[in-house]
Amino acid sequence: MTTPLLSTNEETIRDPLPILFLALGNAGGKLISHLPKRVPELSYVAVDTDAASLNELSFERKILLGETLTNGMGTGGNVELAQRCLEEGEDQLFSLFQGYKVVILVAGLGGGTGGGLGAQLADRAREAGLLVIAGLVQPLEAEGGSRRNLAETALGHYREACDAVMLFPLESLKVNEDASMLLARLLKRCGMEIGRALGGVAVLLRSGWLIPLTLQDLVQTLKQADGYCRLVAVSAEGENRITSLLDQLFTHPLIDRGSLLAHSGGVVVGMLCGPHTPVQDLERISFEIRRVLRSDADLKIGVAQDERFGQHLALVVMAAEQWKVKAVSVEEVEEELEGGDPVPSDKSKVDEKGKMVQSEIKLPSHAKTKGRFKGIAPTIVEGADLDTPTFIRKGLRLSFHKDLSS
Amino acid sequence: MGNPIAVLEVGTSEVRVVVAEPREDGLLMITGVGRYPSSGVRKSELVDFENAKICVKKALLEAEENAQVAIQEIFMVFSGDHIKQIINRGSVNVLSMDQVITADEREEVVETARAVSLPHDHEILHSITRKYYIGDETRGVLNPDGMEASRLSLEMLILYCQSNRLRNLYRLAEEAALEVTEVAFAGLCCGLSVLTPQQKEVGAILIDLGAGTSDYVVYSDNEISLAGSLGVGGDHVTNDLAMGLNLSTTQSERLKVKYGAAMVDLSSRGRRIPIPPETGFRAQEVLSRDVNTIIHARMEEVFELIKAQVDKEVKKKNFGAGVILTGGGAKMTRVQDLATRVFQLPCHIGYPREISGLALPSESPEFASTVGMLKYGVRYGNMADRGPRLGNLLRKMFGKP
Repeated sequence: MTTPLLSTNEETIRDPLPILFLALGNAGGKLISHLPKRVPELSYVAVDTDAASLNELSFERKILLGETLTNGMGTGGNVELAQRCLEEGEDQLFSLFQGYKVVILVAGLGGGTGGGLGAQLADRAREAGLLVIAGLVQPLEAEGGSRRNLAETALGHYREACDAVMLFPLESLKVNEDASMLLARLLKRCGMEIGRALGGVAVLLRSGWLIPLTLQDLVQTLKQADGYCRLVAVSAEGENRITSLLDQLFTHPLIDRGSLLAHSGGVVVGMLCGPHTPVQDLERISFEIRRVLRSDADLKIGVAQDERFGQHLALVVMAAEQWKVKAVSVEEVEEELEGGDPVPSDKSKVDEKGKMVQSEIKLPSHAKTKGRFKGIAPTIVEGADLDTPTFIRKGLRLSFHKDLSS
Repeated sequence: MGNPIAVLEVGTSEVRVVVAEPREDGLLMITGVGRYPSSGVRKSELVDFENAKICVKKALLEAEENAQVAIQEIFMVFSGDHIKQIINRGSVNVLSMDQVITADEREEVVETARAVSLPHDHEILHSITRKYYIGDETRGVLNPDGMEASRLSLEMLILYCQSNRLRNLYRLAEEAALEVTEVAFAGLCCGLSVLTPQQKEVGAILIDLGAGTSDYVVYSDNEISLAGSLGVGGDHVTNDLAMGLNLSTTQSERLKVKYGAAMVDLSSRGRRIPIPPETGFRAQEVLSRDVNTIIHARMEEVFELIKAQVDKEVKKKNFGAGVILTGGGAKMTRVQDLATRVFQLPCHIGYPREISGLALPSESPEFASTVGMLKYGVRYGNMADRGPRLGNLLRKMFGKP
């Protein structure tokens, strides 16, 4: 289930991959505007249809699309116009991808540029042979129906065009106490959290690895997650840094205050530390994370070292939001129920989207699994007997694992 | 104030009788409430008639004493996963010389649209007018009276149920010396009780999380697009906890109400919950994470199954008002967060509106269906005085804001 923890092997330290961070639109630019200074080993470029917005950014390379079409005024959320802008600047963009193997595209889904032309841009990057990962920000619900519809449509297109998608729903960063918070402050905080998470990935990609975690590990987890994934980064220093780090992680709104972690089928953890980090720190973090995960969760852990971290310790955690769930096998159910009588099924266990299909789970018909519903007309939906506890049908294991036949 | 009306709901966890009087300002004044824990009801259906009869009598007595009235006629709330929907379209030719649609054509097309073939031992519970279509037009109209056309069509949403289950409900009331005035599906009653006209107009998914069933009604494009009942409710959560943690039903029900949450919150990951002993069951401690994992799995499944129905059946998925939860399950900690995540829509709790008097029903989402039925009862009474047509009343109350 897990990658073995500590085996320091200096040979695994490798050169960073040729990776391009592409900030798309106003939101994309603002979210990673801090990265070129912090992680200069990677390449960055900002692409927008709005000249004023592009001017505010300190990126070395900037591309203004559709200048003749919009006079540099942006698309105003007009998707068709955004796509025409892309066509106009296509040659320039295609040459941009030369020499890179991976592009990480960062955009807001509610805007004209990020929502309108990003997916096609991703498509072009894939045509050029690059691996494309998108970090996408979903707008707040309060931003209105048309923006939300635009975002949903755009997300669908991104998922088709990209190898993997990391999703950042702004709504999840808003907690109840935020009702009276100033909007500007809330957006700034959201931007900081997302920027920090994306920054974490950038740092991981260029750091020297003690325990390797490759980009393919990240991509495989994202693909397994059916395209949806959440990313979070936390850091701490000082004597209680482990406790602080774990508390931040397990209460972080970007992973639903830990709920997503507890239910995710696939988790990638990158630990970033200085050269003097003791083994016990890493062991404790690994232990605590494994303790809260599902027992069948696919966990990949990598440890990267950077001298600049000193006494700091940081975690970058990627948790799959949807997972290609393994249905419970007949043998497992039988074993669990000690002689249960499984219903035979020859259908496949997982649908084409990778979600567990109710009717295809091997269901035990053992009366003892139905408790108070034994003997009354069952609730059957698509072949699944819903009177049998869901956690049994889904094969979830509890800490307190009792013998159901007792 | 108008004449008092009473509603009986034979729920899986509780039998409720609520008495109200319509006020001149249009609000309902709740004057009496009777409650008694249910026995003999599973998944909103009678499994022990004699026990259920006793519960009805106890709740009725309490309500009568409370409201200081003798209840003889009753409106009843009805649920169960045998309640299904059909959407049927009927058409008639407009035969008059001038081809102007009159009430006669409208009545005729209603009858045609209602003429559906149902499975054996099933009958129509509600037939709700959705839209009329004039000639070959593909866009519907709400009222075709006075329009010119050679042909009039009507799309109707028909809810039907198993006849014997409905008859048994009538018999239960008769055994308690009550005459049943009308029966309505709990989901529709909840919509009537908690949704505003604006919410119905912009679209909403209403889910009544009861103990035995989870009833749902979906409003979109200014009409009811989907209504039904899933035979899974809070009782299943209780049963799952009992099975998973080796507890009695009473222990697990208490655990669910006091400590249960629909999401696993890792900030309390190591928290242990003490379970006091009970006859035949020893005292023990359970992990908060296990409790919430079991609850989360069940509740997520309920929402996902309803969402699958919405995805399959509803064409125009405009739900500006988001998801509204009623029923006892709506009070579960973080159930709104879970619904938001599954439906990708904002979610909030629906409380009965436009009522006064005894505080309990207006503060409790589990009273949504009974209060909705009271509202139905008041309007039914008003319309009955003027000789109403039931189809119109149902459209006005459920189909249209």
